[in-house]
Amino acid sequence: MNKEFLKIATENQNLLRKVCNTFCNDEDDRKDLLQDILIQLWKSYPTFRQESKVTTWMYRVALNTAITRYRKVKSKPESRSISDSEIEIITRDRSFEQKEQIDNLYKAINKLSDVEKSIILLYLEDYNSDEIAEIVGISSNYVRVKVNRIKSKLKEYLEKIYE
Amino acid sequence: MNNDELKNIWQKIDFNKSEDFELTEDNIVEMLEGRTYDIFSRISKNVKIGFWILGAYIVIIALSYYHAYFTTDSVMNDISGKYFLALLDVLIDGFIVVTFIYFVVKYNRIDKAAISHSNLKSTISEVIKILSTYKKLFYYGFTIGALGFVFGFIVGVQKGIEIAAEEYGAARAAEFPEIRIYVITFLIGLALIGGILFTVHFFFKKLYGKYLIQLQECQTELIEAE
Repeated sequence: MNKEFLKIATENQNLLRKVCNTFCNDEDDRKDLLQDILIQLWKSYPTFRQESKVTTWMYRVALNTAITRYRKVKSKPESRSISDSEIEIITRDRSFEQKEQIDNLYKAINKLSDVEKSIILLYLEDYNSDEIAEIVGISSNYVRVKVNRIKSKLKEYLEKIYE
Repeated sequence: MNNDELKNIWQKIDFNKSEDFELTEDNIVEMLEGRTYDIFSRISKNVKIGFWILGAYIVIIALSYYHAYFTTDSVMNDISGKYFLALLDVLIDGFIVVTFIYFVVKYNRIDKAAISHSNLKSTISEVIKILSTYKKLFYYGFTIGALGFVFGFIVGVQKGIEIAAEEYGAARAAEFPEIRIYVITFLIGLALIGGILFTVHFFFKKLYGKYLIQLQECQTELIEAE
């Protein structure tokens, strides 16, 4: 097994976890998606020519895998894509208010479409419009339009939650 | 909550905090040996099953051709125009086999690894194209197969009526006007074709219908307004 690939995957596991938690509603689904993403990364690793950053390449493969993955449509979507125990663990050193904010943010993100989730995930990870455009395959202008629309939607969802 | 607050909240999420989520090299190696649920693996599995079914189909049609056209006790020997029917059979069965092989060749030429690290819009377009080709050829194969089956059924009914007419005499045969027989046979044939196509459509929609619609919705969302 290629040591360099394993190093890249373990160093960037936070990225992979964030993608899985954004697109999946339960633990089994997250594990399956994580496995699929790792397999796709492994398959496309030989053709990765370092033309872009490693994280850009990983996001591209991870988002493509998450969106094009064959899955049965769940009849009753969960309210958010992350469980209570996971919220507890990832917010261990945070205040109650911060925990609530993270919880509510995930609830709001869960209401977005797959494309919107991809774009907002990249935006929240501090990618600029040009980088998001390259990963998603649309123009930078359209990225800015989409980001503004998604932020308005998220604000609206969060305001409803806080009411 | 303003825009900066969204990012501030998001930056607080850190899965590295917990050992429960730690992904080790051993975990990764184990996962890489597992099965995947991507659409290409699914279609590849269907292609493998298809080859087995195709093999069985070729054996069955070879045996039925041999019996129908190369044995002396076959009922086909009494049918006028049997060589025309043989040609039709070969064309129909040949079409089904060629359709399947055409899809397999086209599918194997696709660089699936390259698709996975293209941009999202290209990836979705490629997957929709593959699935649409698969759907089209799947339907063509079954439609032509259904037409062949019904045609054989109609010929069989005609021959059966001729045999009955010989057995029971011309007077009895006159009770069943030829035109009525043709119409009834045609309607039954139409119903059979409809039934087969409905079943095929139902199963394909069950397997891939919603998935294709979801992908098409994503594709539509990525189309920029002029």
